[in-house]
Amino acid sequence: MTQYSIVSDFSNVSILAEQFTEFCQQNHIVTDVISRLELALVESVNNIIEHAYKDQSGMIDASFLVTSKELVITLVDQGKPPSGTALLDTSPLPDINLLPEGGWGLGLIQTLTDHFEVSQNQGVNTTKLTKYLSEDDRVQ
Amino acid sequence: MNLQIKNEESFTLVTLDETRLDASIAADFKKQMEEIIDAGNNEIILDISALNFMDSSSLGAMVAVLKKIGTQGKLIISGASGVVLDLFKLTRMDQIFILEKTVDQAKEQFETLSA
Repeated sequence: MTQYSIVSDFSNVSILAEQFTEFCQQNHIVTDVISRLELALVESVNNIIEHAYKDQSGMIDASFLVTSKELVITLVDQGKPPSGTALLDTSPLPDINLLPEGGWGLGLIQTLTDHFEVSQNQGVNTTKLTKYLSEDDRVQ
Repeated sequence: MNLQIKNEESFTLVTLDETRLDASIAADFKKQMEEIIDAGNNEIILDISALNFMDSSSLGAMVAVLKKIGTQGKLIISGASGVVLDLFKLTRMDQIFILEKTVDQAKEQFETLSA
């Protein structure tokens, strides 16, 4: 398992994403899977910065784990507890002027991973993203 | 945030000279694009072929730009690929934006739409 910590600022998210990409490359994960999980990771960290920490600063601890069966990203923060989840909207798209300019994050995370869960315990939020790995997900 | 602007005869080519567009620069991107539109350029090809990563906050900024251009102008995005294109598709914004693979194809599409 590999662990990193960042201060909850959007300018630090790319640093964490870069570390995740390096971790995946070292573990022979194929580029397409890395890119999609990087997006899920970034959306998760953005949510923590935007919603959990909102107007305050805090730490986000990330750990990455690869086993023979799965890749797991775990994010830990001490911000506000999460409030529900949202799937990507499948209702008819509205007129351009009424289009949303956000709100896709949680739906994207759910779509890009095989399992997504957020738990809260004694002021600590734990976000866990899991991608089940097949032979095709690894560089041969 | 590095945007290159080139005024052609019937449109403005805006090239996003960044490999990554995320929440740390999405607001700056939106602001610069709004300034370009406010300067009278509302027929735009936005070339994002240099991008290898984009998040949903940046997509939101592009939606805001599209709204600002409105029905009086046109916005065609060229060069979205990989996970950037995935983002448009997963959010169904590929059904809202006109996406072309290359700037040349975007130019052709512009001519078709203007005819």
